[in-house]
Amino acid sequence: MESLIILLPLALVMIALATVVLLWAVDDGQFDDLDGPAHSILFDEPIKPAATNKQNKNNDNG
Amino acid sequence: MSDSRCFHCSLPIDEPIRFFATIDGICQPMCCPGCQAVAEAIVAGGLGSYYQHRTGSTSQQNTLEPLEELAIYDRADQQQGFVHRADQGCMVANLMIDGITCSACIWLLENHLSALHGVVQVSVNLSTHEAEITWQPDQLPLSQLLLAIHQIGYRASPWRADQQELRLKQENRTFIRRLAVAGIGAMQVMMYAIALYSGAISEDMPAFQRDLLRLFSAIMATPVVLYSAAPFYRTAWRDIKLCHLGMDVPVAIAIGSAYLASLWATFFAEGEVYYDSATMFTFFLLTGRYLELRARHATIRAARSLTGLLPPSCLKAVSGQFIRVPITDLLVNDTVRILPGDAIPADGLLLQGTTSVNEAMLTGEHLPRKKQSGDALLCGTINMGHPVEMRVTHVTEQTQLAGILQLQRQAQQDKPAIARLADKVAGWFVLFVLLVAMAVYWVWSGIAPDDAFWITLSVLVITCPCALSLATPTCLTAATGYLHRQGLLVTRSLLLEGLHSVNHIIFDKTGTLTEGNPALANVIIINDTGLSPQTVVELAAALEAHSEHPIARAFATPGRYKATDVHNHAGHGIDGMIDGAHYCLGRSDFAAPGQQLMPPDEQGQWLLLSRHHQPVAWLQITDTLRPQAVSTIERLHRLGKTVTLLSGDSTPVVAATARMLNIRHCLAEQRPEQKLSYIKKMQAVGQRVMMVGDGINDVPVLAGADVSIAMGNASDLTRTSADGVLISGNLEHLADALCLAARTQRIIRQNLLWALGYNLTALPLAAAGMVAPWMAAAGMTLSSLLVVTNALRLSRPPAFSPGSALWKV
Repeated sequence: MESLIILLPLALVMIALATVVLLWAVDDGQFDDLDGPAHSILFDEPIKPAATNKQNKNNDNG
Repeated sequence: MSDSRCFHCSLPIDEPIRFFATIDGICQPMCCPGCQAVAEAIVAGGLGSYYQHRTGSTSQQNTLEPLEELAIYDRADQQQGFVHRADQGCMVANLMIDGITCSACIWLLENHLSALHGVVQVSVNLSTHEAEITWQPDQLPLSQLLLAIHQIGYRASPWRADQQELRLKQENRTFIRRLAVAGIGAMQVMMYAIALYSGAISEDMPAFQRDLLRLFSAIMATPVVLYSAAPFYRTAWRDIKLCHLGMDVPVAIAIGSAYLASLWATFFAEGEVYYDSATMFTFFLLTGRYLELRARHATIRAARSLTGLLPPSCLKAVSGQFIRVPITDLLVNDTVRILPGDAIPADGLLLQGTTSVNEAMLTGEHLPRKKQSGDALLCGTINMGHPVEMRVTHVTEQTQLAGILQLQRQAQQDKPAIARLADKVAGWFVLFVLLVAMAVYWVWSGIAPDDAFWITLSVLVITCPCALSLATPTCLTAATGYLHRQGLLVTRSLLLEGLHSVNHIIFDKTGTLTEGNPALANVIIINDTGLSPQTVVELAAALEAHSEHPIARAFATPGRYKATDVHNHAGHGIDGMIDGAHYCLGRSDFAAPGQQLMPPDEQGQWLLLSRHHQPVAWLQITDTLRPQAVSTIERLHRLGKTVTLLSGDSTPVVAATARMLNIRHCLAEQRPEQKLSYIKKMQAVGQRVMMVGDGINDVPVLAGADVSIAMGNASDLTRTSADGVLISGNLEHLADALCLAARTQRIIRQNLLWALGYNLTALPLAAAGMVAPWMAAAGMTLSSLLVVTNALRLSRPPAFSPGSALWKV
């Protein structure tokens, strides 16, 4: 029975932490777009050298 | 003709293919220099994998805008409102991006832009199509940034986040916070409740342990009841101030009283706790309301795209020269030049030349309309033909576009309010319960003052109209979800309640009952020339392959003939040489001059094919009916509904369509005002009208009907005023929705009957002091569960599905 005295406050602390993290995520705008990020994991990271080429090319044009 | 398709935009390409782009080492065909440039820009940026990831067909093309037009955004006064200063000399621009079809577009945009020198951060939102770009203005002018977006085929326009949008965003975030708190809290409280219930049943739980669990339940439930459920109290308070007992009054009383009673029980160690009921109830209700909120936001966002119809700048004549000015500088009687592909900046009259204009956004007509000098050009429509000059007659608020919006607002305001049965019943019930509770307290304080409070609470809890207030919303949410999966998006929750009472259904024709695309319907060989209908079609297709007229789309299938020396005769037809013979296709007086031939039938549009001016065959061009149109109308008739066809088209075409579909009532050549007054007339004789339409000119009509549904391909604006959008375009789902609406009403009635019956049976028992509060709480939860389970039956298809033979009988 004594275990309850430890476990209940512990649960309370963890729930509080979970809530704080969730609320932070909401304020951070992570819930503003619920469709896009689900797909973004499928894409490769930008290829750096190619990106640099593009930059140069654009500067040339501009 | 060939079956080659553009690798970028998937449109068919005419042979010979003249444009190519190398993607991942393979030379791919392109339809036009626009697509070629876009594809090359994408590949040059190292972003070729866009083509592997895209899920929607690419719509970006031909948007090579002159830098000159974009340069207007480098002016500080034009940047006002959508560009603001950030840290370290950076600027932040909010842009609305057109042409985003899937998440690969987001990836492409973000990667392409972040690679530019001077761009600090890019984030694009897939649901709202908004982009926020942080960049250093001393390294890169804004116009270059916009040009970069245009190079990969998207259109960027300034997005001035207005108050409304900020409010939507805030509302959405607040709601998710409330939902999160309610979900986490309810989950935890429920776990404690299981321990408490088992302790109460086995009756061997030590009082200390019970009180500890109750205390922690109280701590968990407090944020849920005070924060998550706050909107219910606010609405309830507003309702009470307006002397109207709405749905939220019982909800607020249920949550509030259960919570207060539980607090009392926790701190004074007498009676029962109802934290689980209060928190679960809050979470359930919030979930339903959140789904409703999201649907509402999506429609509000869609309405914003209307301002996107207007171009940012236009070419205005100033002392004989055309210079680019912001659209706000335009005055009546100015002369402006409109290039092909540009939107028309104001209402005006065509000064000289001919062109064709796509007015789909205003009329719902997909086919471009021919305009001659002196014809009116409407603000927001798109010039599809040649460069033309226009004299401005109306600007901004005086334009027809603004007028249509105004009409829409008016019609929306006098939308008939559909009485909410459950709300009314719950309202009266709440009043009744409050009076009974007061009477019980008064009686029992005379008999046994110690028991009076608990018995009163039992009465309040057992008669708590939880089930009563859950009965309607859960049914509506379940049915709405089912319809959504079927491809009918419900944008207003009154759709289902309204659908049930509908007995008169009015259809628009073009784009609603028909596909809105021309197609070849019939071929009639005139003289015995030895040609098969198939050959005739192929001959016609060979000629039309050289035409850009919308009718040419009806002959999209490639044939084995090649036409040479082809000439277009605007308004008459087309002629050319095929295998050494001279063929004409077009109006009968053009194809076979002097023969005075009459088309075989009055309906539809007939073209005559002739060889050496001798008539060969008639070809009928029609806008094909949607495949389910006939069966849907038949089903609607069988359901006992009146069906009317109300169209802006000419009488013979409308009459023919009505005959084909077996629609008895039809009215042709109707303007929006006439359609609206027809609906008002029907409503005046007591009919409940459902309008199914398409296009902005139907907007006031849709808003005036009791229930309105827009087709999925309708312009975005229509979606906002319609109660539902048929995304699937499958008309069968309309009849399904009507059946579902009837089923929903039946289940709502069952639920209300159960909830009322249970409450009224339990009330005397509780008032007599025969029900312990924990029994009352269990009863209340069971009653709610029963109601919810019953409602969830609506989220499954009916036992006898609409497709089965049984249904069709």
